[in-house]
Amino acid sequence: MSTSLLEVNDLEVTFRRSAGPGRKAASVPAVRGVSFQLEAGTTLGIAGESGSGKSTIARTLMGINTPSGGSMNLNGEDVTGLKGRRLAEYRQTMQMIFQDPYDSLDPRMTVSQTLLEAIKLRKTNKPVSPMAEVHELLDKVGLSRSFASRKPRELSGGQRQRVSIARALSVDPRLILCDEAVSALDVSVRAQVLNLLKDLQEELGLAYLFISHDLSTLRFMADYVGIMYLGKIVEIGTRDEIFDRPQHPYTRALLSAVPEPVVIDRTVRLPRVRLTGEPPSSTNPPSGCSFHPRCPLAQDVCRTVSPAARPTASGQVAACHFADPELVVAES
Amino acid sequence: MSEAIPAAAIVDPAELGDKPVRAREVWRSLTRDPAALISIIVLVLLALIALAAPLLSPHDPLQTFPDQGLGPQGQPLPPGTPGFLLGTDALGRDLLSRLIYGAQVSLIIGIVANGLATAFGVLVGVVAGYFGGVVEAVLMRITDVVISFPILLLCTALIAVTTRSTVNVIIVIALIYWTTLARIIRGMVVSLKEREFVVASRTLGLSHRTIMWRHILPHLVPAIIVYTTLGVASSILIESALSFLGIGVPIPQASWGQMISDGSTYFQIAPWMLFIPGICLIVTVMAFNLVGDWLSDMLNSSTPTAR
Repeated sequence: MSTSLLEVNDLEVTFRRSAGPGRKAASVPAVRGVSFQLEAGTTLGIAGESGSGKSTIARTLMGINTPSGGSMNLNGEDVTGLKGRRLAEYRQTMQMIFQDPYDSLDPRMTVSQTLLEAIKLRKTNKPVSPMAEVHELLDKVGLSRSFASRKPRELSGGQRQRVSIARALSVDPRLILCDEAVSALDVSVRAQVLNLLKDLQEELGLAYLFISHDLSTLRFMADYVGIMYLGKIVEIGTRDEIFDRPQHPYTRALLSAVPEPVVIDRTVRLPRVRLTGEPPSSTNPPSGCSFHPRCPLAQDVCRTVSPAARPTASGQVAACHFADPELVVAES
Repeated sequence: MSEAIPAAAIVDPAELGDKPVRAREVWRSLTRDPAALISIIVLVLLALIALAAPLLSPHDPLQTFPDQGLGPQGQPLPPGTPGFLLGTDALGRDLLSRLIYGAQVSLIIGIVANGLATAFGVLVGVVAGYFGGVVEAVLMRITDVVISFPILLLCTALIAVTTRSTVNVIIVIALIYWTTLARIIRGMVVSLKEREFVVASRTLGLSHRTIMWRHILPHLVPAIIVYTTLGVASSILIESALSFLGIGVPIPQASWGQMISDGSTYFQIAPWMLFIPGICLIVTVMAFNLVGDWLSDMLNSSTPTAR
């Protein structure tokens, strides 16, 4: 196949819920047939509402959740359903940064203990002096060496997130999954952390899978963007394709929902799309296109036929029966 | 013998253990809780007395004094008799000496039995909570079965099929007392293992053993300390109850429960034989409970900077 660093094909993750008082056993398809590729040194952003399956993808890639179908290839090697030592090895190539900086570091360990624990796991390139390595990692993430002896409670949110980044880097990964990694940070701190991630990407050639519900963050970070709705990627393409020429009505609705503090002079002013209603239950997704109950363009065909993802005239891939340029022009 | 679950056990583990406890804070908290301070002093004194039993006791606790130790009609001597500070029992043995050696038995059984129960309970709870699934189902159903037996009945049955010895009493108490702690610990681990720092150490590739040992166990320590302190009191009471029923520490060895049992027979002519060990037992159990409550208050008082 291709030379993609990470290739995900038709990934399916289903959670089973056992029966309890007043409810039946149910299966919840959290991720339904997701495919994407990620090249070394690039960033794929994934956006979507809460419950759309963004984090499940990350957790499945890290081996926390087990996929019920599909495959994951890392460096051309099939890593679906790995266990034990192989899984541990594979995890060294891929690391994760978590959402809550107040919970992702063990409060009982100092920064250097946290980092040393990770460094000692390294299979190759074992450091001669682990402590020097800790200092080097702290330098990399822009923290002074005096932080080594501190405990998480003495650090701010941004500093903690830098430590999380250092921990992820300590095993020399090729790919880092950022699951809402900056969502809990103040705007100014967020910008600093995002810049740090970008610098590290350039310096180390890292690839990021960047999960966020915040589209402006993705616009800043991502080379490619995928939009998820109810466990499926409804539209995926380059950043400019998604942000400037969105094809899927859900993408347009998401983009309309971004508040703009400053009026941006856009060459093409996108039509406003307002969504009504709640996202449907993922236990029992709607027939046909999952989005049809809320979609302004919905026709009869949408209620029965699930649209396949297909390339559109403007370049990206979208899963919508009406995703082509003529209709967009007609609608606006 | 109450089955009360200490407050520390039911609070969110997130609130527990993330706060460093400094000597100064401990002292300040103690001065605000004089009952706990007095209890600690009592327990320390008790421990010292038990350790120094051979030095402190005026007589051999097993030695009978048929001539000086009994009254003209062969009745036990009351407290204050010269040579027998707290009087004697029905066989003319020195009550003070027996009380001192009894403290040794009570503390050893309370601490060793409860220590074993704690270790086992924590092991079961951590393993069940961490791995979940079949492992958890099997371990917790066994726990349910053990917990569903009436404690004294089970002890009696277990002792009945073994021989009566101090070691057996310890083993029996340990075999029964791990269950509550196992349940509490399992609950805490289930919530702990979903916390991001535990998930992060999994994604990092740490082994299960390392995660349990370094990232889960340390967060359970405060709850374990509290529960163990309260559990010592329960174990001492159980040992007394077993001795009272005649299936505890073998006679003629002195134990408080045994002394209470003897005392109840001679209650009308020698009430001190019942009251003196009874008061000692009540004071010791209360002291352990008060210290346990204080520990649980101190370790749980959440401050805004706790995390």
